[in-house]
Amino acid sequence: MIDAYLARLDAELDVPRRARMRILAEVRDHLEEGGAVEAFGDPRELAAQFHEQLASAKARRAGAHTALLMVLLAAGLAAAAFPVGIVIFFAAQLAAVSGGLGFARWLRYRGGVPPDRLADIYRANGLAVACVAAVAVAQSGVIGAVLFAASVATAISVARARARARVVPARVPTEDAVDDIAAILPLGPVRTLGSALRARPWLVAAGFAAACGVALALQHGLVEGGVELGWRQLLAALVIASIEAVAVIVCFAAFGQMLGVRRPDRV
Amino acid sequence: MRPEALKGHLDALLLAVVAREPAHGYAILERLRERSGGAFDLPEGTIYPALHRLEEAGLLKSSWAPGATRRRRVYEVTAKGRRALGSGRTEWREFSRAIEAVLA
Repeated sequence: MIDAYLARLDAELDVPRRARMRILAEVRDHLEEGGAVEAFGDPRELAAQFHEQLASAKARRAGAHTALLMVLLAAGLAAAAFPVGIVIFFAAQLAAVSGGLGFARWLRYRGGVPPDRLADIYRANGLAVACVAAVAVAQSGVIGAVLFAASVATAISVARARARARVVPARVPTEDAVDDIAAILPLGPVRTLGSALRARPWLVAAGFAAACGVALALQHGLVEGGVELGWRQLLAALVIASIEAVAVIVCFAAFGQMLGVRRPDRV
Repeated sequence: MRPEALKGHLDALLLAVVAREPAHGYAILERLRERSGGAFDLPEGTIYPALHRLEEAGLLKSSWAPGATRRRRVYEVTAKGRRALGSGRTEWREFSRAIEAVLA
């Protein structure tokens, strides 16, 4: 009876060999100690619980690796004296947003990742890694090589997390990026902004894009012309603000749903 | 008590049992039953994914120990696990006091 139960559990488990051996040994020990096979639970349901636990562990590990990669990106950019270049500039911003979201989820789900959020996590981390790789290629040199090697190593970790998550049946997520940020920063303005984002996503995104554009234009103006700006500097600032704002909106459209920032069904 | 009623509390219960003395899975389940007066009667296999999750979170650690007839995986609580148990106890007391106040 015990052997038959273990054979059924073995057939249901889709886990690495080492984990499989451990699980089967622990279950055998339990049943031979006096546990009842009938009371142990359906092997399929038990296997599903192990799959969720392993997927959560891999997602957490990939989250930690991505957080380290983001630290490396910041250090690399600082060491290169914040190089100028359109690829580096936009890829670094997108890496900061997606990596930041991945980090928020890593902080939030310290006790375990719910199955419906696994995809949100590997997507955010995956996009962050891809962006860091783009920065690495554009940067080249020693810093670029180090960033690229770290990106490849992190990509392997994220790919493993994705493979584990795929063993768990897909579920519709009940929460979004606003919930993640509010969980670690339970502040009134975060909730207010989050509610606005859910109610009018495009309007809030447009406002945010405009704010980013203005902030960048101001920073550019101060660096280039100080307080006395000529019309050339103003024109340049306007062009920069427009490019940044359009880039933010395009990224929101392209990656908003993928990152769990924009959920049309969540109001 | 239905297993669903334990959802959300199982981790703290397992930590509380293991915090008293390191134990293997079957002994943990037996102690859980004893200390609850038999009220917690969940599918026995359920505790293993939970124990693995707690270990992954650094709240428990485990190792193989030789038994009379076979090796067994013995779990013990870590310092982080003891801190988590302390927080869990406080949260539970606040929660149960609030429920009691409403139901009384």
